[in-house]
Amino acid sequence: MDVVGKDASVEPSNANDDFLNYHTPNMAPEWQVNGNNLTNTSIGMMSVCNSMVESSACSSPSMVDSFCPTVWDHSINGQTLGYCDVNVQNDVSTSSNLGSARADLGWNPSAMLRGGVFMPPVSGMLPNFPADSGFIERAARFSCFSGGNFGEMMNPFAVPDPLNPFSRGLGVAHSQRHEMNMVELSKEGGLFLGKPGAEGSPFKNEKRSESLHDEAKQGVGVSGNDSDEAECSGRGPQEKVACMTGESPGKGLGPKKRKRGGGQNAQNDENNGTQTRSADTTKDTAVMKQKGDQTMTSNSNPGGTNGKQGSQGSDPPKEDYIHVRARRGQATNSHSLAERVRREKISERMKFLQDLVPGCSKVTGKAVMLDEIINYVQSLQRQVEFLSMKLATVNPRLEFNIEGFLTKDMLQSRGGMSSLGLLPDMTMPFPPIHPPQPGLIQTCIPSNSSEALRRPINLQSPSVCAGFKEPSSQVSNWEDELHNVVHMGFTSNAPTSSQDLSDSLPPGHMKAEP
Amino acid sequence: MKNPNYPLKKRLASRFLKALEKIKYNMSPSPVSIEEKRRRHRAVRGAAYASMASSVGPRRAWSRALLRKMRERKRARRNPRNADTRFGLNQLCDVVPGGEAMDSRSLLNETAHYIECLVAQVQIMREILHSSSSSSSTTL
Repeated sequence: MDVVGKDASVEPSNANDDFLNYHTPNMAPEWQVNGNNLTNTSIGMMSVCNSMVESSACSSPSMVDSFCPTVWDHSINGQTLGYCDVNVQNDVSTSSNLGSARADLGWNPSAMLRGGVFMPPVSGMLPNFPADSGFIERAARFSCFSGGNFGEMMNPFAVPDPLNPFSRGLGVAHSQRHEMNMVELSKEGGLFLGKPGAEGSPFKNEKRSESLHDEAKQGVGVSGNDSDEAECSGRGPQEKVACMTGESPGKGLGPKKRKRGGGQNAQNDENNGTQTRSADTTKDTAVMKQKGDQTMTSNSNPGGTNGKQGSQGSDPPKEDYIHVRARRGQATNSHSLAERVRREKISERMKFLQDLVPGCSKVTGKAVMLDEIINYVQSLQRQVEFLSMKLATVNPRLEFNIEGFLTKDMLQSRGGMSSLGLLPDMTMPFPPIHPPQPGLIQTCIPSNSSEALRRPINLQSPSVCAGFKEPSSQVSNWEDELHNVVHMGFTSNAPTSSQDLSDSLPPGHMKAEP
Repeated sequence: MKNPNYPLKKRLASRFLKALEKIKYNMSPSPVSIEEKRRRHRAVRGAAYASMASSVGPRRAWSRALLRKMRERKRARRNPRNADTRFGLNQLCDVVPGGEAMDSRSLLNETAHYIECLVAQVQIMREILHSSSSSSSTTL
C-alpha cells in the first residue's frame, strides 16, 4: 500500500503539525522504529481503523478492536511489553467487556488484543493521538519503564482512588497496576491534543515512573493557578498527569473529573470543550469533594510545593459556625464555604440513603442516586397499592386472629427478650440461606411483586420478606418471627424456622384457626 | 442501615390491622362491583398510609403531610372523588409526601424515614396476605 511509502517519507516529520492526519504516516514512523510490521501487516487495516476511528470518535470497542489490533500490533511488536500492558489497562478501565482480557494479557507481546484493547479508550483521542509525536515518544519511553514503574505510578492512584467514589471506574482497574498508567497515558494523550508537540517536549525528557508525579507537580506549579492546583490535588496522580500537559490544569481536570465521576465516557470531553473546563473545574471540585474525596484532596495537593500533603497545613482555617477548613485552592469566601458545608451534609444524607436503598452501593453520583431513590420509593408505593388491592379482596375473617397474634407476638417480643434472643440463634441457619435467596428474590421481584407474592409463599420466610433488601438479615429476622408466628397461628406449615421458633415461643401462641 | 424497627413495626401492624378490620366491617365480604372493589382498594391503601402516618405521628414532616392529607380527605369523603392517586409520584419532593416545602437536607432525611416506614408497611401487608392466603388455602 502506498501508505507504507508514506510512512517512510513522513518519518522525519513527526513533529510537524500534520498529525491530524490520522493515517499511519504519523504513527508509522514511531512504530516502525522498532519493527517493520507495518509493511508486513495489513496497513489497509490501519487505515480502515483510522477511518473508523475518525468517523466515530467513540466507535464501539468491539469495532475498534476488530480493526485496530492490527494497527497496534505493529507498534506492540515493536514496543516493549510495558506499553502493551498500558494499552491493556487503559482499555480495561474503560470497557469492562474486555475485562476478561485483563488477566490474560500479561506481558505477552504477541497479544494483538492489547492493541485492540488500547483502542477503545483512546478512540476518542485517536484522531489526534498520533499527532503528538511527543506522546508517542513518551509512550515508547513509558514502555521502557514497565513493571516497577507502573507500580510506582500506581501507588498514588491506589491511595486516593479508594477514597474517591468517582474513581470506581478506575478502581476496577486498580487491581491492575498498568491500567492506571494507561489511563494516565490516555489522558495525557487527550490533553496533548490541544498542543501537539508543545507539551510533549517537557515530558520527553522525563522518566515515566517518577515523571508523572513530578510533572504533575511541576505542571501545577507552572500553572500557578490555585484552583487548578486544588483540582489537581483532588485528582491525585491523574490530575497531575493532566496538569503536566502544561495546559491550564483546569481544562485537564475538567475531563478528568468527569471521567472519574461518570466513567470513561468523559474521555471524549477531553478532546472537546477544553475551554469550559476551567469554569467547571471549581464546581466539579466542589462536587467531587463532596463525594468523599475530601481527605484525598486535602492530602494530595501537589501545589507548587513539594509533597502532596504540603498544602494541608497551610490552609488557614476559615471560620464558619461550623469549623470548616477551606481546602487549598478553593474559594474561601463565606458563600462557597457555607455551600460546601451544605453540600457535604447533603452528601452525608445521600450516603445514608444509599444504604437504605438496596443495590445502590455501586452507584455514584448524586443524580443517579436520586433516581434510584425515587424509583425505590415509587416501587414501594406501588407495592403498597398492590398489596392493599389484594388485601381488599381478601376475606376479612382472618383479621382478628392476625391482630391478636401480631400484637401478642409483639408484646411477647417486647416483653420477653428471650424470644428475640433466640432469634439470633435461629437465624444462624438463615444467613447461609440468605445469599442465594436474595439473589433469587432480586431476580424475581418486579416492582409489582405479583410473582413475588406468590413465590414467597413457596420460598422460606426470610427470603420472602427480604424483598428488596439484600442485607436483610435483620429484617428477615423480624419477618421470620412475624411470619412464623402467623403461620403457627393458622397452623400452616411454616418452614423449618417456624419449628425452631415454636420451641422458643410459648405454646400459648399455638392457636388453632377458629 | 437502621436496626429492624420493631417498635415502629409493632405500631404499624396494630394500627393497620385495626384499620383493616374497620374496612372489612363496613364492606361486604365479597365486593361485586368494580366500583366497590376500587373503593375498597383505595380504602385499604389509605389505611396503609394512614397507619404509617399515625404510627409515626407528627414527628416527621412526611407523616405530618400525610395526616394533613388524610384529614382533608376525611372531610371530602362525603363526596367520593379520586383524590387518592396523588400520593406524590413525581420527583422526590413529590414522592415523599409534603416534600415540596422542605429543603434538600431535610427532604433527604424524610425520604430515609419514609423509606423505612414504607418497607415496614409493605412487609406487614405481605405478611398479612401470606397468612391470610395460606390460612384460606388450608381451610379451603
